[in-house]
Amino acid sequence: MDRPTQRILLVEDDPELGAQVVADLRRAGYEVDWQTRGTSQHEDLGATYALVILDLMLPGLHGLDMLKQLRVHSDLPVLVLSARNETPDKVRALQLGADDYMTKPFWPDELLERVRARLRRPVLARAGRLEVGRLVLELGARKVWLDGREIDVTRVEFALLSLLAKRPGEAFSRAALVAQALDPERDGTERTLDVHVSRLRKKLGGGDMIATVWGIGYRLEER
Amino acid sequence: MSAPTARRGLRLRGRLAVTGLALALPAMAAVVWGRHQYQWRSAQGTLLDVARTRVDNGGRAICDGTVREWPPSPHEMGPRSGGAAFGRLVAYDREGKPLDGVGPPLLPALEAARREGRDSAVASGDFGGRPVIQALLRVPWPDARCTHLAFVRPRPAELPHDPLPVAPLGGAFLVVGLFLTALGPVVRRVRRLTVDVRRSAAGAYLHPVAVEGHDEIAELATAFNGAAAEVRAQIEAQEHREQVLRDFLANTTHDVAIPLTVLQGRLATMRRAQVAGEPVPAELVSHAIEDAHHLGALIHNLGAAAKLEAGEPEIVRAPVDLGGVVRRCVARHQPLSDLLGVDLQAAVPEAPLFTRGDVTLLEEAVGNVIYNAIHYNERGGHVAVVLDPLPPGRFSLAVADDGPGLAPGEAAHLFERAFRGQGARARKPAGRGLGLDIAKRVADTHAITLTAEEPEEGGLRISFVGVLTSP
Repeated sequence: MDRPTQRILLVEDDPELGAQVVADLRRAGYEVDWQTRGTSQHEDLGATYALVILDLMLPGLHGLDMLKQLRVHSDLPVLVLSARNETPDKVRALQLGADDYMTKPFWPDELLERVRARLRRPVLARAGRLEVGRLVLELGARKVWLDGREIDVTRVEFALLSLLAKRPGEAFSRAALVAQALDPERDGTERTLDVHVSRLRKKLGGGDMIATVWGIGYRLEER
Repeated sequence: MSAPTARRGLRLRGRLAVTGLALALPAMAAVVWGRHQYQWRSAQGTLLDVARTRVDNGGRAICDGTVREWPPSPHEMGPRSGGAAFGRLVAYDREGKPLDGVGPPLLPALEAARREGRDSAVASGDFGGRPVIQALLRVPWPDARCTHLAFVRPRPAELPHDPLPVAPLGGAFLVVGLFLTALGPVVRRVRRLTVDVRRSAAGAYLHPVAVEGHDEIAELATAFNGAAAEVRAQIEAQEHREQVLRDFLANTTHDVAIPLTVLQGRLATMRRAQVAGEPVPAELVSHAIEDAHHLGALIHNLGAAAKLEAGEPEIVRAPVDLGGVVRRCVARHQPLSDLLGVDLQAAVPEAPLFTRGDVTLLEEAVGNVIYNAIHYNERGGHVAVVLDPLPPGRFSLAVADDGPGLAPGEAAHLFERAFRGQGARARKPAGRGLGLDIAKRVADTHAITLTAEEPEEGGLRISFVGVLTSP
């Protein structure tokens, strides 16, 4: 799903950790530039990079100062890395515009998952249309197409499907779906929700496009 | 002890003496100077009056040089010859020189007054080694030979020569001495208080100092006792914290040492296999990674526990995005769940939910519950983390699993340190239950209700229920 040419700037002073992160990111298909000092930012890095991974305790300019300068010119995502698991650092980083933070120690897979989450492309929602894989939803006309073929859905089924399609790949709790898609005055229970989902699955070809998530509810697969 | 006490006593007295003298001496000097000025101005006025009288009576003849009064006889200018009657008039020309070269020169101050054109002036000085006083008057006769007449006479004995006030100075010293003597009992009480304070400090402030009387020194002693009680309370609190920290470090060292030893053993086994050219068992690698997860969790918990022991203000409260907490905790534990074959999923509402708290502690609490749910589950098991709003103005963050659940009676002890369920003990003998204990303490610190329930379908569901706040 991620564009293989997306470029990431890593600012990390530790040579071994930096080399390891660079290798992990490159293995995952990203281009990586690595700098080992905090430096003043006087230009829009957003023109070059899709994400900055920023350590805080840096030689030269402190990571928080670098973040502050970076935010003057750009709103590209910044993931802060910190060896100090201290709340003031996190609060300050978020206040200065960091999008997320991670504390050391971490596993490479955790870092890659956080990077993917930050670089995930938003759902196309041009002119009231949602496109998720083979599925297209016309929000205003309340119409659904699967592989270009229109599917006849009820009002509740459309509400359910549009909710799931706005955040594909993410699980929704049954309680949240009941509260937002079902009419609380008319049998708004989780059992009713399961019935609606079952009918919707049949109309979508009976596959696992709407997956059941154990202990939670449902999720619309992105494929 | 006695030497420094004496030195401090002397220092106090010395400071009081210096202060007293510093106030008394300028005051005495001002009085003496004023008195001297008053006497001098009176003498000047008297001398001028006498001089004018003399000028009016026979001054013209002296001014014209027909009569001379100078030089006087030696005994007239002696130190005991006081009295205006013994003065002499001397005439001066327009250059300020004695007429016909007779008479004493004008004193410098009178010469200056003459040049300035003043009508009269008085000055004292020496003439021929004797103290004299001169009064200079401009003559009222334009056709006379002289322009000025000076009345010269010995300096009157009543005019003080030395402005240093010996008698008042002695008085000042006497007053200060009496003052310091009167201060003796006060100084002795201050010394006793000093000894008492030192004794109390040496005894870790267990014994209060004696409070004598009802004056300021007594108030000082009372204030010290209050401060000592506060210091004592802080010392006891510090000692308590240190004891708790020592206990915690001892327990944590034990907790860390076991998985670290196991990890070292597994790494050594891998190394032996590698050296022997044998394949490294995948299961061994998985266990080593799991050990590293466990050690990472312990490190985080060590920080959280230290923060909880320190209490406020180490706990930094700010609006916390609970959805972010869930996402970060799930991302942190995803590698472990993948390793152990446990399906970890999460759901958060689209609209962010905020509560007020310490984000580090809240993440530790939620992370510990997730860690346990994964760690004590079985391959193929599930863990679900669900954040939902709960009307009115509350939230529910639940971690459900389909693991071994709890044996009867275990629920009441679930959140106690070092307690683990029967199922957990059977599966993971190295654990100590530290995580849930920290989760409970974090919940209590944030007024969050932490509950455990066993769903009908099995497993365990642990819920955090708290209050929502604005971002």
